[in-house]
Amino acid sequence: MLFSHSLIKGGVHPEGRKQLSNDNDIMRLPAPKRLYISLKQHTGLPATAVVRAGDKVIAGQLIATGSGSSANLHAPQSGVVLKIATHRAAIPGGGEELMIHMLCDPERQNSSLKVDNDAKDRVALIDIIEAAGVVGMGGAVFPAATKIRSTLNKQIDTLLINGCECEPYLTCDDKVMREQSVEVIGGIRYLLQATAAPKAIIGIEDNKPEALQILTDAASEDSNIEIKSLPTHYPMGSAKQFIQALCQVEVPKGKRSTDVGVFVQNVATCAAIYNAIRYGKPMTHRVVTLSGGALEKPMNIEAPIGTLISELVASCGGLKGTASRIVIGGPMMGHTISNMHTPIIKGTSGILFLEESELPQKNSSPCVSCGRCVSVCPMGLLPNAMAELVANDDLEASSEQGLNSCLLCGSCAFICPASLPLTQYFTYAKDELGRQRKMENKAQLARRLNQQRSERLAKEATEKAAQKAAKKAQRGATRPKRTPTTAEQEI
Amino acid sequence: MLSLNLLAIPLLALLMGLALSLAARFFAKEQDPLVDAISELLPNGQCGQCGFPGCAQAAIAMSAGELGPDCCPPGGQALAQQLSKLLGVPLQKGTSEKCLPQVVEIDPTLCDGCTRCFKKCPFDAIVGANKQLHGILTDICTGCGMCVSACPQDAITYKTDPIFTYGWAWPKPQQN
Repeated sequence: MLFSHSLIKGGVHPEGRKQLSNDNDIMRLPAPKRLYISLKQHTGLPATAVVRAGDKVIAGQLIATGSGSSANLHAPQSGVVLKIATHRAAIPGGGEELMIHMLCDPERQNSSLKVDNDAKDRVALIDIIEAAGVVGMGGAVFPAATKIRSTLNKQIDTLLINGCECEPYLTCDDKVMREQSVEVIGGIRYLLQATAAPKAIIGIEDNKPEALQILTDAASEDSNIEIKSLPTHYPMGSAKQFIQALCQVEVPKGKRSTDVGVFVQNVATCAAIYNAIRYGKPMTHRVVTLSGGALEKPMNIEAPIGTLISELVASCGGLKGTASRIVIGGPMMGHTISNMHTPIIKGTSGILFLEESELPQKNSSPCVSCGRCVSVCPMGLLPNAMAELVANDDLEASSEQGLNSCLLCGSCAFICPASLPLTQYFTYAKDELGRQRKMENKAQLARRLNQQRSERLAKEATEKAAQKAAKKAQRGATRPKRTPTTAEQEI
Repeated sequence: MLSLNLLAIPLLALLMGLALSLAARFFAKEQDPLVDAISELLPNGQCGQCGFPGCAQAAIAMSAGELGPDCCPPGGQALAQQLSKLLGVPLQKGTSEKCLPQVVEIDPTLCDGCTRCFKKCPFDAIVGANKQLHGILTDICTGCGMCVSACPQDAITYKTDPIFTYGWAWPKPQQN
């Protein structure tokens, strides 16, 4: 069925390897001693800290406020703010970010948001979600409230809930659906209210039969929530492909899903929305998959945001082999890190410790023009041609070829028989183009300021000259007539 | 006699000014549109790092092919690419990656608030007041270096633009 009638264009079928971590129940991590809560959880401007070094905070207290593309941050545990300083972050390239360093107390009183449980007003619901700092947990880490607010002046026909989890290894969404089905369905009910959508569809890949069954049971009383099984096909979980598979609608280039009347949200985000509105619990924890061949006991852990990866590994029984590569996220779209002394953020879905045998072939050879990358590209692009242009520094031309539509899903690099680092070319090109755009804006700003400055200086100069002239004229008029001195009079 | 002596200089200045303004009107040379287009792109900081006294002269040299499109450090890679497109001159490979755009920073332990840098900055990218610590607005600073030479304390140094050091930067894959 898959090959005869595929729901999405292109795509690949990587080995799932989900059984490594989907057997055990989600483990609740005992309170870690220190937390490092990054102010920059996502692209865009960082959140602004509202606590200072030495402040005592209680669990659930607001510690940083977001704006626009950043969300509020709350203390996951009670404790003391040690300092607000840079710390190594789990980002590509291993740079540092500004973080709130916390020392946690064993006492665990909670503070919750003041919420109106019976709120029916859409705006009131969105405000609660915003106050709770809920972000999209599917990977983008975009504030959920900002996304929902964009539906206020649009007609949403269908709410799509993404439970695909098409990345190999990752099972955190699967476990959330199986263990927190009440929260997931409850969150969907709130989302239906907040977006004023008449119905919701939960899409789940058919490699998660338990989750499918449990959610179908949990939503049996809701006539407007439908659960659909989707074929296991990477990248089914990508928003555009997911919409195409469930609604047979293609989101036009440069448009958002809300423009075609659908609104997509991840299952774990729905659970967080439920906890925020029903119990006033801000988003301070998340379920992270720890998996990979080098790990002693792969499992899912519910950990406070800001827990060090090294502590998570220790609670999984440590490493049993050599981790040749540590990957944040899934193996298809994730990125490697080189330091385990880095904290998790709201968007950390998985941490993989991969053995040598699990890694792809390292050495790449020249392109053989087989065209497989073209046939698997879910966006219908020409990855080989685009990569060639990027390799030759012609970023403009690769942009014209559709670089901006690239999802960075990695299907092309996965299928490439020459092991070309295609996705790396595209991530580099996207970053580089972004920087160039920033530099162009900066140059424009500098030009404008320079012009304003020269105008101001010219104005100041004429004003000064006018003043001088006025003064001179005044002096000339009021200067007393030269009266002869007594000496002169005498002569 | 005295009044004639006093009047001589202003009279001479007036005559010369008249002559110059007439000459400017009657012997005006039409500006090359390419020069205008280049001037439009240049940052206009008059920093002189290209080896010419100002941006207008640099634009003329560029239109004549004496100056390459990558001659302007404050403009950086973005400007170099715009200019190379405008002039139809390809950028030399490799030169762009080695020198990343620069900004300056003030060492707070050395600055004594003399306001000299503040007055020199062509982009108003320095804030400060007399006998107060000065600061650089990195979002605006083009790294033209006018302030560096103006600072009597040697408190201003260059660093790479945070756009290129901060955040998630992926390197270009190495070709084998």
